[in-house]
Amino acid sequence: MDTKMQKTKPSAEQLLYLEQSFNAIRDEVISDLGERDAKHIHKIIRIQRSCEVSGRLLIMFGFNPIPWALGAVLLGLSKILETMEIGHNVMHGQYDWMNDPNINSKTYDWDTACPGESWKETHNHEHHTYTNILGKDRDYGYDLLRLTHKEKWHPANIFQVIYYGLLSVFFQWGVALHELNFGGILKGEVSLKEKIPFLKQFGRKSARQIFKDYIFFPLIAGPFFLQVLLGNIVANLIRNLWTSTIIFCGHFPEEVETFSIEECENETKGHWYYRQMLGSANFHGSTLLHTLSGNLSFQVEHHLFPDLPAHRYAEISPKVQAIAKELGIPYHTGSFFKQYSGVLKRILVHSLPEPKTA
Amino acid sequence: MSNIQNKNTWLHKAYTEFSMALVNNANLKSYAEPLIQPLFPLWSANDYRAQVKQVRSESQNCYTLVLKPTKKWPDFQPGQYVELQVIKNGAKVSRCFSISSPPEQFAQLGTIELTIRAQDKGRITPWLKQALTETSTVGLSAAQGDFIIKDRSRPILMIAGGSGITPFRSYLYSQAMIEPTQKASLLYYARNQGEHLFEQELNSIGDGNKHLTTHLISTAEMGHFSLEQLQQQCPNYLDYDIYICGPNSMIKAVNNVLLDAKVNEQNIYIERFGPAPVDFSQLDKAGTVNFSQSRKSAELGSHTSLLALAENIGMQPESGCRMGICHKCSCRKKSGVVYNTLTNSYSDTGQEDIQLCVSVPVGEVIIEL
Repeated sequence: MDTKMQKTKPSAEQLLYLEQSFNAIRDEVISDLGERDAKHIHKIIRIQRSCEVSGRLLIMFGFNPIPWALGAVLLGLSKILETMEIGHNVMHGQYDWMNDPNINSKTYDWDTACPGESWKETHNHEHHTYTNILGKDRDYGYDLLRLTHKEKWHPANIFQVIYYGLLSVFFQWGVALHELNFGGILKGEVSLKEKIPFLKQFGRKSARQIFKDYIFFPLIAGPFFLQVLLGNIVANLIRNLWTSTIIFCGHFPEEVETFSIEECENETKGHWYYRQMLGSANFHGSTLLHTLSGNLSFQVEHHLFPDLPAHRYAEISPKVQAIAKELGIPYHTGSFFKQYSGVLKRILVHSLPEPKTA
Repeated sequence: MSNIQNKNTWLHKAYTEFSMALVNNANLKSYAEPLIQPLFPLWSANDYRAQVKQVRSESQNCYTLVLKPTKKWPDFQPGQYVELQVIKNGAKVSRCFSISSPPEQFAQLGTIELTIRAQDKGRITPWLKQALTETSTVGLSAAQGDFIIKDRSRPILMIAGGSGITPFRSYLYSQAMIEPTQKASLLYYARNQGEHLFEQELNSIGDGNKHLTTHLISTAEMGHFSLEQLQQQCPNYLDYDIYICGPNSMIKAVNNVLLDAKVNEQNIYIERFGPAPVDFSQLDKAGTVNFSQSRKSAELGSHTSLLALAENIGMQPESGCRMGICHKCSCRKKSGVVYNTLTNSYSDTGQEDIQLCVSVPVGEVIIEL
């Protein structure tokens, strides 16, 4: 699958055409930004906060398992919306044009253990600029999973499906500690000392999150301490599993490709667009599924235009697909089930070394 | 602008930390705002708000907004301005306007007035008149600025040009001006007779008050402000505190005449308008970029991004992809116009966030950095 790219790699003219066409799509959306987008994000924020408030109330005063479970699900739903459609997208600067300090990439911090500042560095800058360049994009496998034969196999990879399971359960903590570059520290490439500012930031943010969900709200519930603690654990778990699944479906289905540092030296914007096309994958679904995934079900469009309001991706998707088709560039998409089984297959296949004869 | 006073008390710090832990925002009210504001549009977590009471035409291209601020809005002094915040097509825009009504009106009726010229190429001022109705609510800052009467014991001379009359209307109506014995004189310039704002009230405002004189002058008939006019209308001008408000070109000319006439510079007080709308066909590539927090500035030469410009003069602003996608270098522009090379468009003139790496300054720009 990685050799296919070499065969079909577009010419310089084609890449220029790609650049102009995608720029035009972007310009069209930018010039149309306005009330509709503001209404959308306001509506999502209202829904999210209503879910959070009612979820917390139900968990606390539910008094029997059904309302309690409903509360946990509502709180989980609120956390999903907040992480994906609000936090992730706002912190990408998708709504900076609204000039609203509460919906701005500079000031917004999300309801996860990951400090917003750290996220903007590792995700917005590193991952989105160097998408799927092995050795530069540490989001690729999170230093934990081997997902391509281009990476050397290590005996520890045998158990990587278990690591994947654990990463999903504790996903917000995995994301939060991403900047630490634990792999780099172990290898001696990065010193722990230079990570001290990050660790302070992380300590502060994670303490806040732990205080909120596992100390403050359980404590004010008094005799219902345990039911609130448990409800909050469940809500965080729901969010962690869901976001992990969405991110893996967007980046690691079977057909998604990787790049070497050399391939991308001095690259043009056209090549950057091309790399984003090959390096991400979409999945189909209903509007509800798209919203719950922060529209990262349109991961291809998101990677092409990370700072356009995500609810616009569905609208521009046909145009992106038409241009991709015209140039013979693959456009990765499939059902949620197909993409997710592709992810699992990839994790399993690469947990073992390739046969020598290949 | 925040309602919370004494930001340094331990109580406030504890509140901020608690609020950050619960809602990742320094103010719990900001979390509730999206739920409350649809029901109570005048309620706001951080800013003051005001109800629009009336939109009144003053002339062909000037109008007055009568606003009733919410109760928490603090008082003001004549000559101060406010920042008016409105939502235009989903985006928050703000403009500063002098208050043209006196504090006495605010004390009695709870209203303030902003008199606004619809700028020829303006994006906001012409639109505002159409967009606001008597059911609208707007955001409002506390009154700001130090263009206030400095010394009540000295006579004052007010020199206004065009819509620069607005702060002086507040001076003139202010109780302190009408009753006591402080001598006051107004020279108000407009191109033609009949183009003076508030003409009728200004002509009659001095009736029965021997300390107050007003002169409405047409530059087409009488010429611009000059030493002769000054000597004729206000012979003892050297004893006066002189207040000037109007277009920048007029301020400059008047100031020069006064300095030539040996007026002490310390007795001259000036209020400038914010940046005028830009005529994009005649863009000026020259100008200075001021970085307000680091107190550094750079001259504009060729087309370089603000990021490169800042780095050239030894600053190290936070940055990331340098191609306009990651928003790490986003930063507050206080005023001025920048050209966005990604969207191929010019920015607004007022306050907003911009991405340094894809913004090329056009003329004078102030960046909060």
